[in-house]
Amino acid sequence: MGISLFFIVIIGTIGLTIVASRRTSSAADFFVADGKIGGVSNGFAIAGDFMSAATLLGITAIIFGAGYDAVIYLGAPLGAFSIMIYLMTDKLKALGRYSFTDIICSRLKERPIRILAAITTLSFTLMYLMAQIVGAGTLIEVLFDISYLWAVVIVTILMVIYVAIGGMFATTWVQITKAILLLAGVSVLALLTLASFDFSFSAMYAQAQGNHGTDGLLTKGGGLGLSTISAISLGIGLCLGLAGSPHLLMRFFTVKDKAAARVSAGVALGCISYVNTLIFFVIGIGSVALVKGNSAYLDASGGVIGGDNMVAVHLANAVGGEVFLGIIAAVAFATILAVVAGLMLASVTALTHDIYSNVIKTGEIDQSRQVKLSKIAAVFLGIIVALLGIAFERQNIAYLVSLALAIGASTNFPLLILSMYWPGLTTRGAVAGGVVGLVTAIVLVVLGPAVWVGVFGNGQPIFPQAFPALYSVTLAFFTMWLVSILDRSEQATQDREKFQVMDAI
Amino acid sequence: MQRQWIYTGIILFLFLVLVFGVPLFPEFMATGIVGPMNLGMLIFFLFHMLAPALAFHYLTKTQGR
Repeated sequence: MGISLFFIVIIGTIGLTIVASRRTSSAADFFVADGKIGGVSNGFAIAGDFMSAATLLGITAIIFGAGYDAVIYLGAPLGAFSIMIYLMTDKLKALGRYSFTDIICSRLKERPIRILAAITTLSFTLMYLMAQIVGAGTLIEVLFDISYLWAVVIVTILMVIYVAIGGMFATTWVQITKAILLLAGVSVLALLTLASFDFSFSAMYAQAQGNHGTDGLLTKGGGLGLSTISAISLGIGLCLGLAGSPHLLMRFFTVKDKAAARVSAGVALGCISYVNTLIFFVIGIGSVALVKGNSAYLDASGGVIGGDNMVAVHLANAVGGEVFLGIIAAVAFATILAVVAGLMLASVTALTHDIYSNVIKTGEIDQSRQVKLSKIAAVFLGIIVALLGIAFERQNIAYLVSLALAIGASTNFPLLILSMYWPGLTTRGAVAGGVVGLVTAIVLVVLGPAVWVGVFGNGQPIFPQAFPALYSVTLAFFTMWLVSILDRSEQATQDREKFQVMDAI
Repeated sequence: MQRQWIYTGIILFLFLVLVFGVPLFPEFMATGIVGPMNLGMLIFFLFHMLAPALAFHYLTKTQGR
């Protein structure tokens, strides 16, 4: 059953890509679907772009292991999307064309900003992509009994096909399909879980509390053992990192106007809120009640078969049998494909639109060549990501996600929000702050427990916090402010004057 | 102050209450409200209802702009 659904997902998404390829001819079609996506459709696509396998499988695993503390992971996207709706979408749509860098360049000097933004975008998307690919390989290996190597190869080939052949149209349609599948899958899973307890929340929670132990941490803070600084840093990193994610931001260029962009963000927020609520109140707790301590889902060592990330899949089996397990596994697979396609498209845009077209060729490149180069870039980046995915098979790559989000929070977000709202920002300030944010985020993650201890095998981390965003974001904002107010150059005067023009649009 | 800043402030305030509640006042957030639901879970629920509701309200107010 599972493997049949696996092939149905592959055939279905390739079919969508072939149809989409007939609509893709210009650079505008390729990068942003020429603004032809409707607001509601784009909202589903954004939700599909955001909700990775980590949302259903990873967050359920956190509730399964640590209980209530998952509120930080679940709450952050709502904060991020609220920032996008209220503070970003209007200006993104009014001033941008293909990437968020267009907005910053509308008031600051183009060349240094494009180079910086392309570096941060590529750092973000490649790290996020690698984490997704390694996670996908492991997941598909367990779900469909396909070897890790083949799983990585299949996901990479599909990702390149979606992007290179279908561009933004195909990526969008795959994301919409996945979002609908995920919403339906999560709804049915929650319904079946509640039905197992005759729709009694009290009975489900009582059984879950009994299975979780007597510490009460299932519904009380403390399961992850976070200090105050760590909790704030994690919250800031997730929230601002998502608000500065290039693959999410570029989706706002695929609709025709500001109103449609706002509707997109609103629909995405609604979808995410719905899924999060079901995961927190029903699926997470249901997995503790029905999977924890259930010998059918435990291996010889007493751990969950396939690891904690598989608890949602085991729950599907417990409440819906083999058929529903196959459906949830197929939903997880579609989820992976949609997210990696979005990330790949953002990487390709940074490479060909920001760097090649606007920095190297200074905008003098015809559209068909730009599209052709983008397709080559997709293949090139796909090969790199697949090789890295194979090389990092046995590594714990969770730090790559925290690093990607720390980069988004420490560089893209301050750059974007200050260029939108602070008249005093100058090119020098933006570049200095962006570099400081990027370097600080990378250095603190490397010196922190995830890499210094977890990867390099040292006894103690040099930087004690696992999440660096509190420090790197603060430093980035402070540097942008300080360098900008001290900047007396002629360029700085132009930058400040251009803000008035930009703000009036 | 413009509406969008107030709405952003409300949402981020609720998010920070949840974040600070984890390490700083877990016992208070675990205060029982009704059935298995405690204060932290209630705030989480309200946060997840309020965020889309505010967004919908904002979208209707800004429609056509």
